[in-house]
Amino acid sequence: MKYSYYPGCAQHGTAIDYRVSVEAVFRRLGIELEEIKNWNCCGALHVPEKDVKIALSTRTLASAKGLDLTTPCNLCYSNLMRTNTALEDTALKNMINEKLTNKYDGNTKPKHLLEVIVKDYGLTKLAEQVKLPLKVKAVPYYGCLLTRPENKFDSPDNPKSLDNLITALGAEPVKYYYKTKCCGGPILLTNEDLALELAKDLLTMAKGSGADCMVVTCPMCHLQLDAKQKAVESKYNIKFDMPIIYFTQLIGLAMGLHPEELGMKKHLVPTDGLVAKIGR
Amino acid sequence: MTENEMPKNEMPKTETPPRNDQKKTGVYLCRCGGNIGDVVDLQAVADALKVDKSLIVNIQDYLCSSQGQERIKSDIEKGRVDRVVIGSCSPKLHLETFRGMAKKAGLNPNMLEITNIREQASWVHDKAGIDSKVKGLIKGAVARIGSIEPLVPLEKKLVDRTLVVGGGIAGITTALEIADDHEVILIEKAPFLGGHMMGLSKTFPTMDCSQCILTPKMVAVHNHPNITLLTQTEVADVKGSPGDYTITLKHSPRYVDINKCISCGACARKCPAGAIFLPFAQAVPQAYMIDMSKCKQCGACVKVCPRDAVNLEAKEETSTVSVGAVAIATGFEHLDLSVIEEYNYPAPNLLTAIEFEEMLSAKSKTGMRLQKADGSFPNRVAFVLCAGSRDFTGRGKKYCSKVCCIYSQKQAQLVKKMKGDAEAWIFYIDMRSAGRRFEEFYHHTQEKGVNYVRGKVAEIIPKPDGTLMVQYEDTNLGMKGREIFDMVVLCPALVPSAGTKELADKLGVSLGDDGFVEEKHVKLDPVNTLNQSAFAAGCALGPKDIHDSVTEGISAAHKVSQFLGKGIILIPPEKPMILECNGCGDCVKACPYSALSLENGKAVLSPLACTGCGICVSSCPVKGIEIRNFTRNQLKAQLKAILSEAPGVIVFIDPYAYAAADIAGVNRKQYSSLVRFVSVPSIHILDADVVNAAFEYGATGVMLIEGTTDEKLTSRSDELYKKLKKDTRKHKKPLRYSHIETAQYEKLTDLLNVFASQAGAKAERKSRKEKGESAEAAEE
Repeated sequence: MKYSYYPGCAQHGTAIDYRVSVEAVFRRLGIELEEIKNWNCCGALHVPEKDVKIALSTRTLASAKGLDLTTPCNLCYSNLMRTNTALEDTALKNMINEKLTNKYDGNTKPKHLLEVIVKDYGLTKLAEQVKLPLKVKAVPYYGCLLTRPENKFDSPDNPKSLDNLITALGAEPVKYYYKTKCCGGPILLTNEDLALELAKDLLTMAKGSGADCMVVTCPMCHLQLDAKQKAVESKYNIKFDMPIIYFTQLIGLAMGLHPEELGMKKHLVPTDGLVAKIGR
Repeated sequence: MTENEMPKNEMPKTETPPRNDQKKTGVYLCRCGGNIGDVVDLQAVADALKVDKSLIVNIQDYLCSSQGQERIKSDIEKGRVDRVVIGSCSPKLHLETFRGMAKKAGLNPNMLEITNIREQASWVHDKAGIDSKVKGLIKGAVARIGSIEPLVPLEKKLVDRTLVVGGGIAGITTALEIADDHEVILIEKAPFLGGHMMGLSKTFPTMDCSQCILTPKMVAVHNHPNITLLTQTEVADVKGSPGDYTITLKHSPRYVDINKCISCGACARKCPAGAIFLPFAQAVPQAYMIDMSKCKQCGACVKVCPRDAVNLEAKEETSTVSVGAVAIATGFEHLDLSVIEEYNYPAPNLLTAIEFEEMLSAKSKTGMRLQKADGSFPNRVAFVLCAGSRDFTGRGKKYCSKVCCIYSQKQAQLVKKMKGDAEAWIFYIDMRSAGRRFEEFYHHTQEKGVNYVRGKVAEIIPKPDGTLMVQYEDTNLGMKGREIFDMVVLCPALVPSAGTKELADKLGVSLGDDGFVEEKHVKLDPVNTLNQSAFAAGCALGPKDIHDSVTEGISAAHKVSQFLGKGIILIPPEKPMILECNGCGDCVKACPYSALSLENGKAVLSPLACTGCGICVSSCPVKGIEIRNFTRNQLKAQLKAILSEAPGVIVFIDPYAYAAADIAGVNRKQYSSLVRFVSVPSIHILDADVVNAAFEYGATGVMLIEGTTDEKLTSRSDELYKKLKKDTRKHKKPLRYSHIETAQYEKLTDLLNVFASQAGAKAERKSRKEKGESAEAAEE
């Protein structure tokens, strides 16, 4: 299995732990991720001009060289998907293609890494790779941009793929009403108060459900819920101690990999308790 | 024997009076005020019929009117006609009326038949082709009536006992109303009487206390000498026939003998697991019960009971009862709201209206206090209407559940009454207050300060602190909104209670496509069903309030009493007659109802056990069995006459599927006018003789449509179809079988259209081929 890989800015920056776990796990699963050369930022949610934003992702899509284009980040994935839809307007597509060296033919399929694991690789096959069933409770947190506004692999409002992945790894996904609700990440810089309030609700609900950790699929969600967890705790005077784990790290732990190999030492919220509970 | 030879011993046992040449057959066609007359050229039909001098043909505007009936009556009384064919609306409506009139006029009612040219013709076809269809059908009816015997219905003694299924307010009412005159057995699957009404606090619009008005009735049932009350009981099986059923009941164990228990409570005090309990203080029967899933089998209760009433070894038991009538009062339950995923039900403080009100009722587990999960009073309550009702997304029900608009107001009023400064909001699509005193109630609710928001609730998100965020659209303000509530009450769609379909199938009662019991006639016969000894009342017939359930209970009781009061049930006399018998016993083996036996080497029929299904007809190797008034020759004569006008598709149809065809007519669902229905008591009376004849007389295709849900018949339909297909292969014309329940009228019309066009196309190809062949022959 081979894919074109678009890491997004975070993988080489704040989300090095995510990158490390992706490389470790995907290598062992035999899935080849060919990073596209000279990629550009997708613009996340911070570029206001619509055409510029679409152009940024069009260039990325055009670089896929005939393979499916995977990405580990919810924002990048959402931008790529929405760009494909926007480019159905051929006038817009032609206008943007004029400005690109590599023209885009409209046929690249963006896929999130979660989709690659759950749909392409398959959970039955993944279950066979499990050496250490994770007897913990995990929150399946998809974030607001993975399944909405559009995706091709799961229900927008009540997705189940991450829940199923957690089950396949031997862990128990808890019932979580905020699966697809915003963590506050995108407005962290512009409205920190509101961002922290949103995170507070998510973390309180996670704690209340008896979960041992929250599983995320996006570096921004991870940043918000992990790096900013202390800020939420101080502001509201609550203790969470809720480890935030990338789904690839979860897979790695279940496959018997060492937490260090998966970048877990880089988290701000300590994961030692969770690792001990897993038995690693 | 070929089709042209008459079977030996053709004369039936009863003498058919020789036709007096002075007497004719009267054919009366109804314009039905234009319903028929505007589509069918009745004059042309009449003219075509008048060629036959043995007929008197008359057209009326409204045959059912006194003027119309008077004409027929006078023709009979004056000796002008001794057989009557009526072309009008469905026999379901007026057959009994006309036959009653004929009987009074001195004619055997059997000698009057109705041909359906409205629900099954003028309402479902346009003018093209309809005249030849109607001419054919009437000619067929005339051919049939010419050979009909003046049979008299058989009489069977009724068992004077009624089974009322369901102990809610409808069942209780029905039972009490019948019991003064007839024995009643009332069964209820819960351990106590009262149904949903027991879970109510106050009842709209008068705000009566529910238990106060219900418990006296429950006690009356318990005390009535003529009512046998059996709780934790359900119907397991039904054997027998209308008016004389043997019903097997299944009794779930209570582990406490209700006749011995004095409700002293000693057992509950000793029980370490809280497994033995009194359902609630006013429960009837007033006895403790055990929840076996909690029981530790320690036996403490057994030891301490002063009356020796506890039996931990109790098992499920069965018993049989003999009844003449059954009243279905099985009520409702609510839709499983987890299908509406965006409401996130169940979650803390997110309840159904039923759970909400139970807290305030006699069944309360909170001391009749309204409280949140943490025990405190909810200061802000939202009521969400139409949760699963009026839902066209495919997850809920399309219909309106009728009572929620009013009961949500009642519940909102109760919240305000319990705490004056609490807030109650109602999210609605429409506020339906149709009914006496309901609009005033609505006005009163608004005066109490309940907030109304017109808009469907889009999403309900439970928050970590137990509150709920409701996202909605306020269509009056044109805004989207979001509010936090302490408690959200969902008003769920009401659906027929579990087991309704199984019970209905066992009794030959049909269900509508909404799943509720289908009444015999929606407007004119609302508590009877297609089974003359089965009746229905209450929410089993559709969501309704207590007033309407009681009204139906009283009506059903009256109908039951009327039915039982006759003492006898009239059984249709169209039963098999054994004309020739070689004593092989094949029919005895084939009969699913054990109605045939061998006596002195000859087959003998028990007419009262016989259901007229006709399986014996095709089982007889010497073709010695015929169904009275549905003999092979009679059917063939009818087919020949129907097809004499023009080729068409012959569709044999049983009474249940016939009802579906009528419903299609009421809904004006159009289908091909090539379809000609031939009513038979059951499709199993048909054999290759008759079907081959249909093809020979010009049918381009033949269909068998069966609507009964009686498994004894439907289980052999496949075999019947395969045999007929094999034996009619030589005609190379399409033969089809389909099972269509009464509710499936759309499936029926789709099927008819497809088959008619298939048969037509095949016939066309064949005729073109034949023309081609004859042209070739001519050239040579």
